[in-house]
Amino acid sequence: MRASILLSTLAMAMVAQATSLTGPRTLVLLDTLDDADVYTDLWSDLEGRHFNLTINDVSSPVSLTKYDRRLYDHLIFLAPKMKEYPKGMNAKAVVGFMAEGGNVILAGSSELANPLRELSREFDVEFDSRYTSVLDHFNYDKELGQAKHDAIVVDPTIHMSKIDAIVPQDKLPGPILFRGIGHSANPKNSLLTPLLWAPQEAYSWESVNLDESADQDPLIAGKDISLVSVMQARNNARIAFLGSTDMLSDVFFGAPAKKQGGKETVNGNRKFIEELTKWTFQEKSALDVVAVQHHKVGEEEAPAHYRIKDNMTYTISLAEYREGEWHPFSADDVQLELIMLDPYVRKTLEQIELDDQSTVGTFTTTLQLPDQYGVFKFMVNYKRPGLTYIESVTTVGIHPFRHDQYPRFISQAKPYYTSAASMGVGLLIFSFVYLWGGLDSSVKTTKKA
Amino acid sequence: MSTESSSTVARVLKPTILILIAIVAISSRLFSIIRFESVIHEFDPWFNYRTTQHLVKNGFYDFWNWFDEKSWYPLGRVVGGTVYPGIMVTSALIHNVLHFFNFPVDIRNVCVFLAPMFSGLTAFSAYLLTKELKDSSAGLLAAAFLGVAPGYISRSVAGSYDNEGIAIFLLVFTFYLWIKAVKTGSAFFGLLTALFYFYMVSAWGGYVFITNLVPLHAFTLLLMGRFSNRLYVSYSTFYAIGTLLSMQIPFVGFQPTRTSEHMAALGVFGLIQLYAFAELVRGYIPPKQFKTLLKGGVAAVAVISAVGLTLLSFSGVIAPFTGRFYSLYDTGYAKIHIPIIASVSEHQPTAWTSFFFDLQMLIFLFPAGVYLCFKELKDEHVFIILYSVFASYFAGVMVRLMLTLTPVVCVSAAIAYSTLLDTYLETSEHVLASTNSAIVATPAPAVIDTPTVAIPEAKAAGKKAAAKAAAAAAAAAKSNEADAKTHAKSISAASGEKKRFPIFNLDSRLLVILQLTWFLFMFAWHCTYVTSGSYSSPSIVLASRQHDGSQMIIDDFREAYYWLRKNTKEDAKVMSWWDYGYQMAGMANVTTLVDNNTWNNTHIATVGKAMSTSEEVSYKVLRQHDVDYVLILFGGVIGYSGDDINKFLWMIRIAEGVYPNDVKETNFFTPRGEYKVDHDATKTMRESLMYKMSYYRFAELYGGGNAVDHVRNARMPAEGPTLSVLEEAYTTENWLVRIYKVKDLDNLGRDLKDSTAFDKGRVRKVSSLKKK
Repeated sequence: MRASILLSTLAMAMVAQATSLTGPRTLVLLDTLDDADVYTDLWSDLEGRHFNLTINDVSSPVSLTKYDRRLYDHLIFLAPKMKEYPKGMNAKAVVGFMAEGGNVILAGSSELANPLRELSREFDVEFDSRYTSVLDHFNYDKELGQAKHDAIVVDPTIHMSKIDAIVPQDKLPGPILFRGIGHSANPKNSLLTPLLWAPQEAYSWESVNLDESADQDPLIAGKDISLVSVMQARNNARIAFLGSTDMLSDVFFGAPAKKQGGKETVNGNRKFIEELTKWTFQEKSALDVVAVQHHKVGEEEAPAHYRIKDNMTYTISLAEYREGEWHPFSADDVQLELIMLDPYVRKTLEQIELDDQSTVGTFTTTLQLPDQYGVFKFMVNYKRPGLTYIESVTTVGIHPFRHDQYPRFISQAKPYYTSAASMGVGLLIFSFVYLWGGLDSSVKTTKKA
Repeated sequence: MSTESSSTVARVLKPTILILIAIVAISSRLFSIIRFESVIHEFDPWFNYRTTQHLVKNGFYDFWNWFDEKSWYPLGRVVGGTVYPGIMVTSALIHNVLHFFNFPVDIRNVCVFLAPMFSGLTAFSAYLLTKELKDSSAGLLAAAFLGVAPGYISRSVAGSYDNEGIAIFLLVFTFYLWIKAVKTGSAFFGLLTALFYFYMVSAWGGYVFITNLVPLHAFTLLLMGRFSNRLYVSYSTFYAIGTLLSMQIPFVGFQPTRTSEHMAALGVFGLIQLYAFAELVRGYIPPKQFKTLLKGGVAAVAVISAVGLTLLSFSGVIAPFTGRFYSLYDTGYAKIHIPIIASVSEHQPTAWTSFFFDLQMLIFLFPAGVYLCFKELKDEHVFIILYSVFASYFAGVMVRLMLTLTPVVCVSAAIAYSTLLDTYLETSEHVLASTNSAIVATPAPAVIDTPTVAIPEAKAAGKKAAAKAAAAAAAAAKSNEADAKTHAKSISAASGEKKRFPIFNLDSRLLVILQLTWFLFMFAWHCTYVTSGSYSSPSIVLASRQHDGSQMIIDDFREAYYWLRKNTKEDAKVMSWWDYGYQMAGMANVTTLVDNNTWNNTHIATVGKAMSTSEEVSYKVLRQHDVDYVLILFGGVIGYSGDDINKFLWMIRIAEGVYPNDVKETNFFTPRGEYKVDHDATKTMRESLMYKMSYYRFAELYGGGNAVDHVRNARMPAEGPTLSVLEEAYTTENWLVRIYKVKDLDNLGRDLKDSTAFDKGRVRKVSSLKKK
């Protein structure tokens, strides 16, 4: 009850301001302020979604935080040529900005300069050398890439991750146009996901003197070239890496996509960028643990601790944020683990069916606790690509039986009960016989002595 | 008439003297309180104190079923079932009684003063025990000795709230009751023995000493042919009731029927039943048949019990001796097989000097007393002889067991000392009179017993005097009892006259008496000196002298614990070596991974592994155990030698026992086999978490260069170790305690080494791309 009220007030507050969960304040960094005209469609898209844009060029000083509080909620780098960070900002500040929960979009181009390369490197994203471009002599766009074959047409049905939480495929009206630098995403970093990659025939090469014969193989080629990668940090702050500033521009938003030999189609850039920014700025796919309840079967309140082999019910309520509102979350793969150093129990939670009234998705299970005492963590560790990481830990002690909770009489001990009882009866009889049985008094004295 | 008046004086004097002894015993244990404050000492007392608080606050049943979630995280500890509750219940009882009478005494003060209070009672029971052996003047001496003997004070100063504090009283008193029971053959005293034995079981693991010594005494008496109904009644009562009662303590449980340590008592119980049965049978059948029967019976019983015991041992019904027990036989055993036992300083073999240090003149009076016991050799003297032999052995094997030796040393020494006084102080008439009264006070056992028992006794005893006594007993048996007493009196009086050589020369008497008095003074002086100098340090507060002679109080432990208490979240888990577990739980109120209970060797080894491996390996262990902070002791700055680097080898050894693949002791030694921390330290050593935590930023303290570790006299490298998975959270004033916070996983998924480097302003090298 309390949770749902909280939720609805929260949702209302959000709608009033912005659709982003983090907030509306957005800082855009451009190489020069003149570039602002290149991205007018982007600005109008973002402002239409209630973002307050602050557009700065790299030469004017800017500060991301003040008194340890973020001044902005989102940061967009559209300044690939940036040689130095604006005054008051550096790589550490950007990482710190994310540690505070801010989201970042970092777009590069083949002229990408060092500061942003080094910054990306911290995220295990390695852009190819300066002045290289992703080239493809088969999939270039007939119009934009005529000269150098550097504007390539990427088919999202083949070359995009099928993660609906980030960019749902069916929402894209057509292929995506890309012109810029390629990067490689270190697969060892489990937080980093390549979202869009180059076609099989593409390669990354210096786009300046294309006529010179190559003296070595390209460093990356084909699928290994990531064009767009995303990362959700452990604190759920999100960042997107784009190899191309052009793909955000009005020109690319508007141009039709036409492959060599293919037919002309509407390109998907605007929709792709819309979904990508929605994800990155936490307008969707954000989950929240609304409530965790656990109690013994037949009880309502959570006990201070459990006994071994108790039957208990665990319930977790999850909500998903999208379209400026919290909705019930549905899934069939939410699992509960009981961990004491190792998992003792792992069980998939069942979702209670949703109806019109439901504001949260409720997942529940009933289980018997293990026959092992200790301090257990009831953990729901739900990490799916694109979705907010859920790591809900409830620490509860499982105690052994109290001294009066053991069975009072056990069947195995019946021989002993019998022997004790017979001993008592025997003593009674013996005393009786001894005292009044009229035994010889001489025997008595011998014994007594 | 003079004897009558002197006995009236004695009647007043004795209680007065005993009360004075108690006062001395109590007040000589108060040094630490006067110097520092009323505070719980050391390590184990902190646990006892914490559990007592729990008991007072939540009541007995809650204490009995207490499952402590804050220790041994995440395993938890069943406190009620793994504790000797005697001392807590005693304190809680005292506390509640005081509160019932509206004395608002804080439980802490009850705990602090419990051991000194009980030392007064111990002195009193030493008096009772010795009185049974010799006379009340020897008893008073014994009480005085035990009251101030450093061997006992070492574990019973104010604030040393440990099991031993009350257990020594119980030990001595149980022995007194046992002797009384054997002497009188009364089931009542047998019952009392059992009750106090139960109290002892509830209070200290050392009760095993009683369970073995009392049966041994009974067994020896059997071997000496001194079986009597008195022995039968007292032992059977004691064993049956005592064992049943002891099984009520959850920690003991079924051990009395299942472990080897308790088998002797059970065996003697069976034997004594058989013996009694044989005696009964003998009364009914002719001697010749009885002999055959006896032979067959003995053989059958021997075979059955041997086979039975072997079978039960092998099938595991009877547990073999525990490691702690083996280490009592072979002092090198623990070092090889159970490092965790060997690592405790109080489990080390005793140095010879400490016998003199702890007992002073008593140690050379002790053999004399034992000799005098041999001379008398009544049932109770046999007991003292056995007690002294075994306690001497155990005290030699383990420092801690000096504690069980001290009472018997005091008793024997008192006997010797008072015999000397008797000889040199009294005039010849008094010598006679006292010998007489001594014998009358405790009639010879032979007098009450039936002839059947007296005869083998005479056979067994070889000495003339004994034979005489037996003859007297035989004679007494023929006549009526009253006559027998007078007979015995005259005969033993005569023998006493023969043996004694009263010293009439005043010079020699004065010389000896003065010397003995001088010894007493020296003893009292030594005891006070030792107590004040060595045994009164609370060890959580250190005191040292500065160059100018002023005292410096080093209170780093409490500073650190207080910091933890105030600055960490409620359920913070703090890892440290097990020595500090109890203190952290008691003072800092944090969750600990391991503590002084040491019940789970694997868990301790895991902590040892985390301390002795590199940061990467260690971090996994820390994460798995949800560790928030790591606490270590570092004495390098002020030269405190009991720090963690000096204990480090034990951590390594214990860890190696469980994780031989991760930890290897040899890697911590230089090629020349040295344990070094300076430039010569091995790579493994330098990379171990313990080393890094100890010396992190140590060189900075010396402004770079010339950093010297004062404990190991090592010159440290100017470039100190770096830490990436931990960050320094707190270091106390004298660097004695250092607390580190375990970092979370990196927000961006880098490993912590990289992220630490990034925070320091270093950028990553071009990496992953080029390899493809």
